[in-house]
Amino acid sequence: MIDLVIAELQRVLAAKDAAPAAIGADTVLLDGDLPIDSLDLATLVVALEEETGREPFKAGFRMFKTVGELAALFEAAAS
Amino acid sequence: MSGAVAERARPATRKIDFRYLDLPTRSPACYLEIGPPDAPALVFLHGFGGDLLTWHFCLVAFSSRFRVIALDLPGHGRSTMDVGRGTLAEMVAWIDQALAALGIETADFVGHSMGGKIAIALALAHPSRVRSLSLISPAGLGGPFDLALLHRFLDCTDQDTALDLSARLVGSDSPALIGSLAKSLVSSNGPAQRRAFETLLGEVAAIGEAISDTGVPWAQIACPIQIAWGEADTILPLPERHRLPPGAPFTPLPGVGHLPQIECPGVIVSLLRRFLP
Repeated sequence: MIDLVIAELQRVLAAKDAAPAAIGADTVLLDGDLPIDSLDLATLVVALEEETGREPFKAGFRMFKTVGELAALFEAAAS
Repeated sequence: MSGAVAERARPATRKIDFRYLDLPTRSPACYLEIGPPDAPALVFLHGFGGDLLTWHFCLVAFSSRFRVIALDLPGHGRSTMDVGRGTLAEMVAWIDQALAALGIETADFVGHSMGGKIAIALALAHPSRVRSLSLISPAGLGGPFDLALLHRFLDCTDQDTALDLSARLVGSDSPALIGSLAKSLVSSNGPAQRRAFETLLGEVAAIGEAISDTGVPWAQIACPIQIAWGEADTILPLPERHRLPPGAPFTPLPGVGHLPQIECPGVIVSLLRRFLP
């Protein structure tokens, strides 16, 4: 799942002509080193939902800060 | 694996970004759209001094089943700063134009504060436009509201004022939100927006006060209605029972101030999911 999150995140960066970044589980998504905003993050979540058929935010928003935390939410969500 | 995923052919997810509509009057309208274009529409209307990003914790939760639209109202965010005379009727006419431009005949509406009042007025003026109303701390029901505090938005150009205002906006359970809220208040207040806010505050009919002398004529609204309200809201305090729509689900939110969609987005999403068709 983490590989998928990283791949989709690279797509988001590529779509806004940002340079590919070194991304790992501890990479902070917002207010870190990545040039992404909250709308990019929403795009990432919707892309992951489409790709996995899983909806970790179905019952409400859950806080996450890093790539690893987002991957864990998708991992835990039933498809 | 990442390479294989990246190479797999599938339609690109549409980038979620600000989009703009050309309207016949008072253009443009800025909006966000998420979800299938042919799904039922779910429209979010923010409150006075806010913008469409106040919903950003809530929107994605509905993207698989709805065409989710969040609008910046005139005088706010990235939409036109021309609010006309700032009347409720003008706001309703503007929303009606925006819906037409989006090709939306009817939608479920979620409105916060002033956005709730506008949604109620839309349901009264154009009943066919509104399939349901989810109202979060809506204005327009009558009863007290803190107009003096709204006036302070006009002069919110320094960090101390912004911090003080922010502390009044949220309930005691959300102290962590005050800093980021204050930052957005200071950065959003340019001269054109100040004029728009002054007009809207001058025409209090668009923001506070009851929709009519007797409150809201709920009997004239046929669609399902639900209301949620922060119990710690000091700007638009919890209304007296008689001002609420008879029989409609009402959810008081303990420890929550005037921004439930930011203070407790999970609760708001759950309420909406249970209520929406």
